[in-house]
Amino acid sequence: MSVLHSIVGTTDVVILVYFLVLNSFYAMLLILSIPEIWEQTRLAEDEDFQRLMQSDALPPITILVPAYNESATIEASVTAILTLEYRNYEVVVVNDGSRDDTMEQLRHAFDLYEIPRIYPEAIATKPLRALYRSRSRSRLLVLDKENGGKADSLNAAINASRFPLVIAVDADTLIEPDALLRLTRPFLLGREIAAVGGTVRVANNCTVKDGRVTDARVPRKLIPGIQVVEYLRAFLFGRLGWNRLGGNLIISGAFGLFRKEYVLAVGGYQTNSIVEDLDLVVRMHRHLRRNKIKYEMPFIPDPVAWTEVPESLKVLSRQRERWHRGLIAAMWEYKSMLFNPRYGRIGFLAMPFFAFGEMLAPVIELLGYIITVVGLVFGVVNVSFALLFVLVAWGYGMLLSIWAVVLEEVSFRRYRRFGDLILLLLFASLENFGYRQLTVWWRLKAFANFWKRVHVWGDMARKGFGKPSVAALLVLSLATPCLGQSVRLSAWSSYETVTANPDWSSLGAQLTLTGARGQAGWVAGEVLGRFGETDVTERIGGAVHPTPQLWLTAEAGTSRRPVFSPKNTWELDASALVAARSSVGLGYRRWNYAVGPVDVLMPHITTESSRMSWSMRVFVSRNPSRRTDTAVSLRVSRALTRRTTASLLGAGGRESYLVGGAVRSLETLSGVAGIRYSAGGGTTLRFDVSVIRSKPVLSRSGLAIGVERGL
Amino acid sequence: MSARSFLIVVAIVQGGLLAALIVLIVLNRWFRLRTSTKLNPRREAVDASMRRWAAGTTPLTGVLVGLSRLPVPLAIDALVKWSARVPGERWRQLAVALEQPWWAKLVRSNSGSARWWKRLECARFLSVAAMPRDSARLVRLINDPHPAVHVAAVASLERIENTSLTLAALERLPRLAPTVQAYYASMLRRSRPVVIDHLLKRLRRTDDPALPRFAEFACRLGEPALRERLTALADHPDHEVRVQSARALGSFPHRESVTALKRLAEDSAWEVRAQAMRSLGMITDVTTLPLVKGALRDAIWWVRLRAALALMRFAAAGRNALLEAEVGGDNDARATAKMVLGLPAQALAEFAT
Repeated sequence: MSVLHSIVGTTDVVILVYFLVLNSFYAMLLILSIPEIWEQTRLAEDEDFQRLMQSDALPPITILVPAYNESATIEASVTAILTLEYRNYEVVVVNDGSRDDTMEQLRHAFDLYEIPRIYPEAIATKPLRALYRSRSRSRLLVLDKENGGKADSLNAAINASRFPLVIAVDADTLIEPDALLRLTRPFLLGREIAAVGGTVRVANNCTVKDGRVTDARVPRKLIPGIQVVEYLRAFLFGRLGWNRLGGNLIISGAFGLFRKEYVLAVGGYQTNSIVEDLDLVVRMHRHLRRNKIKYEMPFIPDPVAWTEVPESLKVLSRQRERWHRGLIAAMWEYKSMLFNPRYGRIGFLAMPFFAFGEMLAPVIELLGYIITVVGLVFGVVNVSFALLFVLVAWGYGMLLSIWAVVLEEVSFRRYRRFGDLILLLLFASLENFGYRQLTVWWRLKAFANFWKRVHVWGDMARKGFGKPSVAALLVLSLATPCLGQSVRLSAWSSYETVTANPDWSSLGAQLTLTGARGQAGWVAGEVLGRFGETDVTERIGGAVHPTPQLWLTAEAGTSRRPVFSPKNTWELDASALVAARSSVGLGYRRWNYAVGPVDVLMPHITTESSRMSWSMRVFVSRNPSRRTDTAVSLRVSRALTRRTTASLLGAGGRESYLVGGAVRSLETLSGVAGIRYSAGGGTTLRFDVSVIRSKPVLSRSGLAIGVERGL
Repeated sequence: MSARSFLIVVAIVQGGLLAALIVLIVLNRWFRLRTSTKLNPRREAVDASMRRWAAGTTPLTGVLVGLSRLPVPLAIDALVKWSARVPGERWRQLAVALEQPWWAKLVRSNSGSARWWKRLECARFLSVAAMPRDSARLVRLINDPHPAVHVAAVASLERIENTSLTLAALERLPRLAPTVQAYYASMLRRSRPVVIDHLLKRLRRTDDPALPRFAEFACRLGEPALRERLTALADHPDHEVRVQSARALGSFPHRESVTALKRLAEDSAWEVRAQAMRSLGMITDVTTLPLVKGALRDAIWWVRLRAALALMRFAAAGRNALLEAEVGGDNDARATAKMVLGLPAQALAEFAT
């Protein structure tokens, strides 16, 4: 007990010190945000925009609009952007290989005509299909390119841009008409600006007319409502406070103005980055500091862009997990900047804050909850003290949120109605009860997902694979048709954790009809979850005994949604009894993928003793790239009791799988241990554990369960 | 103090702060509502009296009374707003009248305030209501360290002509960021005679580090009196100065400009060659056609592009040169000619800017 006491005590002190330091830092940001917002409000109110708009001082700006499957909204979004109050700007819309009719919508709405490419490719991107100009809107340039993701589209747009300042805007973000004008204020004030960020606000429940927010309202629903407070807190005091400390690490990707020469100097957006805006800003800081270039990256609160936030927990969890994973990835990738005097305030203040304050906060918070619970259970921590501590911690969180509401109220007051103000206060109070704990959980999941990917950081982390499951292959190679004299139904399910990929799962069922002389026929269906996608496959097969010593089986399969599985499969097998307890056979399988077929020859031999069975199979496969792969499997099963049979399977070699749109050879080494239990009444239960090491990708381990029942 | 007592104190302080913040929010709403209810009629009254005075139907007194009833920042906002709508001569009457009110005197006295927002207020006021005797104040404000203050103060050049003010702004121009330089340049254009006289002197100082910026400003002005100095700068050792010279000479279709541009078209710096091509395209002297055609084979993409665009401005002769290059032996020239011949008129116009 004394050991536990000292562990809990020490951890408590560490957590207390951590929160004291972190909260003091937040308090400092809070205090620093006061003069900053006062100055910014003052400048925003005093500005004579008419005079500015009439002068030719405004720097020309290129607005970059990446669009993927935005058919429904693209016309309204682009029209709204084309009517911004700014004198000198162009809009570069990038159709990122949309699968819907986004390109057609653009062509029709803006009367596009094709032009030759007129600029060098400063940043490498996916191939361009065509460039278009508009007959009706001279500011508009449209790029049609192969799909490469948002970062790739932004890079393509930067290549095509003519002006020295670029701003990336999501096609679904609504920019206020004077926002560009306001964003350029730091440039007019003569500062050495590398990038400027504006405020992003929540558009849910606001009245939107012609692509403009005409009436700002606070959402009535809890989840978007709390996010309004979160956004206010993040923008109005977090980033304003950082302005004074000179270390803004986040310029929102949805609304940030960048000096193009610096973006080009760091190679543009990284296409394999999880959160491309944070990554770009950190790289820009690194580049500018290394080259000793004087610069600022301020945040300006008065230019506003509106965006819709997730209303469901499911979508929100994905977003928050991705954001936090991006933060972890950035901190990991640029860890050399931490406490590095070369990077000044960024190395000594911003990076440590984001690494230890923002990134590790959920881990420490979880540790705090665990220690409190453990301490309470073992009586090491006093109940009333623990409750008081939690109350103070939550009260502080509430104080910060309400402070953000105060800043909004004394400065911009976008929410004019008194009811909206009450809602803001309510959501600021409710945020700490449940919502905050959920975000801690989502951010913890980001750690788990990050570590799964970290070993293959680079290409593998983000490649989308579409290929058959090795587990399914093993099941098929091991499958023995049910030889009952009746109708049998079997069902199975498996779950595997895959390195550097979303987990795999399957759920299948098979109905088998067996005749009196051993002939059989079966139908089967299976739902496969791989790589975040779902395929549905179905098979039909039959087995005949022309003579008592010979078995012939045939099976055909098809996929209803062949994302990663073959479009169809064919399989034939002939086996013959060559001795009293031994058989040999030859199987042939053809899997027709979209990219070409994979042919597999499978000689096999099986021998049985009174309690044991040995079965060896060789897989010789030929893939579309004319490569021949060979693998061998050996399965040994032994009856442990009258009802229980255990089996072990070992396999190794090279096998052909569809990986990243091409059939590739993977080096695999597999081990499967299983147990079958005959429960009586015609019911059999099966349980398998598998570990598969596969190079270079798709290593995994998993569990499978199955049940068979005679009807 | 035990940890428990400390936490209790923190909790009580937090509770108090939370309550105070909520009260602050509610009071702030109430106060703003009350103020706007009180001030809106006054603001509307000023607008109405301004409108009537601008139309000549009422005397100026009504405007001055209205302005004095507004808080100073709002009065300055109203002045700045109306300054763009009232004709110059009439506005001068108001500026003269604004020398007397106490609040205007107070604002003027803030030109030396330690607080930047007070100086900003003064600069904004003087930008629309300055009188000749405010020039010393304005010079100080133009040299102010706060960017918002000197940017507001330099706008006074729109309304008053004063050599010391113009020179102060012109001296500050090379030290400013490009965007602010452009803003200053747009203001300085209105004081052309003084500016040109000073520029002629500054452009003679060939070892001046600010020379590229002055040359750039001279280029923006496009003033024929500066042509000779800009032509002389074509042989300056600093390539940035030569870029500005090459850029500026396109606005002066003169024999000497063409001679200088021919030299600049063969400069070692590609930026100079590209600008020279652009300017030769603006002048379209037929004797330079072979030179521009030859630049289609330049090693730098930008020079080839500028040469091809320049050829498009040489009418039929240039177009024929491009058609020839399109089927010629040089790969770079062929690609550039093909690309530019495929550009629509709109894209060509955009490249001309």
